[in-house]
Amino acid sequence: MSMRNTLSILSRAALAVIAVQFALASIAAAQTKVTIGVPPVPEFVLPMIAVEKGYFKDQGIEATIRIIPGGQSMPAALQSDSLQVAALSTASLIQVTDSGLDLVVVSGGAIASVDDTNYGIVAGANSGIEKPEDFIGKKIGTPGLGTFFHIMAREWFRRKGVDWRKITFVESTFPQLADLLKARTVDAVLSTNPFLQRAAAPGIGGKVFHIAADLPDRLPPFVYASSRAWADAHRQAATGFKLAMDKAVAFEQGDLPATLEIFGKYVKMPPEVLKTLTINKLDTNVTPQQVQLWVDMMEKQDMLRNFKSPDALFRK
Amino acid sequence: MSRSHIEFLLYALPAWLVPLGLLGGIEIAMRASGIQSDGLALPTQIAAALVAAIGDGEIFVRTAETIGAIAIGVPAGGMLGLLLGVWLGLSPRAAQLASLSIELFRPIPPVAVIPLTMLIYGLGIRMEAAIIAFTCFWPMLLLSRDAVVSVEPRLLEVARMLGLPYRQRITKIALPAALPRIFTAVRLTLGIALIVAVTTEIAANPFGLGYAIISAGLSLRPEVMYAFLIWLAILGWLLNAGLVALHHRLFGAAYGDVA
Repeated sequence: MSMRNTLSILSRAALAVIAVQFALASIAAAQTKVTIGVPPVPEFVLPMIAVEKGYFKDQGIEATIRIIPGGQSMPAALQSDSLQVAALSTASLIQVTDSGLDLVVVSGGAIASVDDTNYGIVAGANSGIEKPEDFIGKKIGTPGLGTFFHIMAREWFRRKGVDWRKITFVESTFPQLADLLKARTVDAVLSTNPFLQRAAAPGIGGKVFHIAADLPDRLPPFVYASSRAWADAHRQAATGFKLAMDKAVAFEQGDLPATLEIFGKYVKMPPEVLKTLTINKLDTNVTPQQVQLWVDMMEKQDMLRNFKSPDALFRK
Repeated sequence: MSRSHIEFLLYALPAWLVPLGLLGGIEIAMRASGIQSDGLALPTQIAAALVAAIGDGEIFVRTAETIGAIAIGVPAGGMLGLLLGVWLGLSPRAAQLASLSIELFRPIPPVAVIPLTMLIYGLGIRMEAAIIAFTCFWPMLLLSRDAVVSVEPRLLEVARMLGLPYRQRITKIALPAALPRIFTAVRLTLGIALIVAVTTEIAANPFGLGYAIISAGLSLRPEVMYAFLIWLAILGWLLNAGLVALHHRLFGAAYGDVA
């Protein structure tokens, strides 16, 4: 074999090796693209952290965050594959499953424990409301009728022995609640932070009832869900999503200021509001038993027709 | 500046004094009462927010998204409505057959088709364009049908006597005669399209100016919310003024003025 031939074979072999290297590298870099829908509320900061800190990337997930105000459009967006994962209130997940959509939980989100002060009913200053019975015949401004918040409040009244059917709930958006209370258009408002603090400000709000204290402990207010079809087709990404979120929880617990800074990148808030934000206890673990707590509340409020078992919401 | 420009400004100025005076009044009243609200902002804060949004370019990105959806939806729905309208205008039998269906489907509010379009197209420009197309289809259909119906009948008779084929009757007689009215229909349709686009964005679609308005409201930045609202008003006004000017230029001399 001539020198020239040997060189030619060697160079071809080298080229082949390089080509294979490139192919392998591109397979390794082929990441699953996931668009995640979350509302503009600090409780949904985990996927933002996982993007910013590269936790998703480590799991082979190329994630994009879409901030979507209000949760109503999330289930349809999952169904049409505009979003692959979306934060849904657990109540809404149960309700759309009850109506026939096939969604599954890919990760937990947060836990409302009994010592949680993030969910409250703020009575208006001089409204004369001091105890649960005083709400009868009164009007409560509510962010979304039939939403998880409304369900929690009705359950709270039930546990306090007050018939919620004798209370009028009127719908409003979060930022308007404090104004409605101030103008006495409503007698009380149902709210969460940072809006709760603003409604409870002196001169506007009176007594604050922290409703989580009297509700089941470890209630998951929301979860991250995907369509079953997506989760089945992307098993690795669906599992990796949860692992990345676990890392994000550790980050959030270790560094709240940095967490809020990341949140501020995605949701532009006035700096003075951003500083006062608090975040509920975030937890990515959720069980069918915890989901059942919601099912129980919703059944008592006549909200479900066909719902069978929360087990079906979890991937095997 | 020429004399005519100055005269125009002097003519237009009093009309501007009303909104400006109103804003000044609101500013003074709000400062005097020391009002604190998450839903209101001082006109001066709104102006500053508007300048900032123009400065960082966000307003243009959002505007492009909204206008983009309109630029797809209006031609799609409008062309379909126009073609069908012209046909119904020329053929009384077709008009009679279609009348019930039109009256049944026309009153469906565009916002009511949001969930359906979202399931089909998902979030994004296609869904919004589909809703806009649905909205524009009906007024375009009715207005172009009426425009063709009111074409001077003798023109069509002459066309028939001359033995013009059907296609040429449309392109040479019906369309040119109906064009000014069809253009009015386009102008009205564009105004409706802007409203529907922004409504869709506020209700469901995380794009465009409506999304910017609702996001700013929810993140406790009322001044930004109102800045976008005012920008929207300016945009609507510019759009209409531009189309009126175009109408004058194209048809003004031949067909008189438009409102």
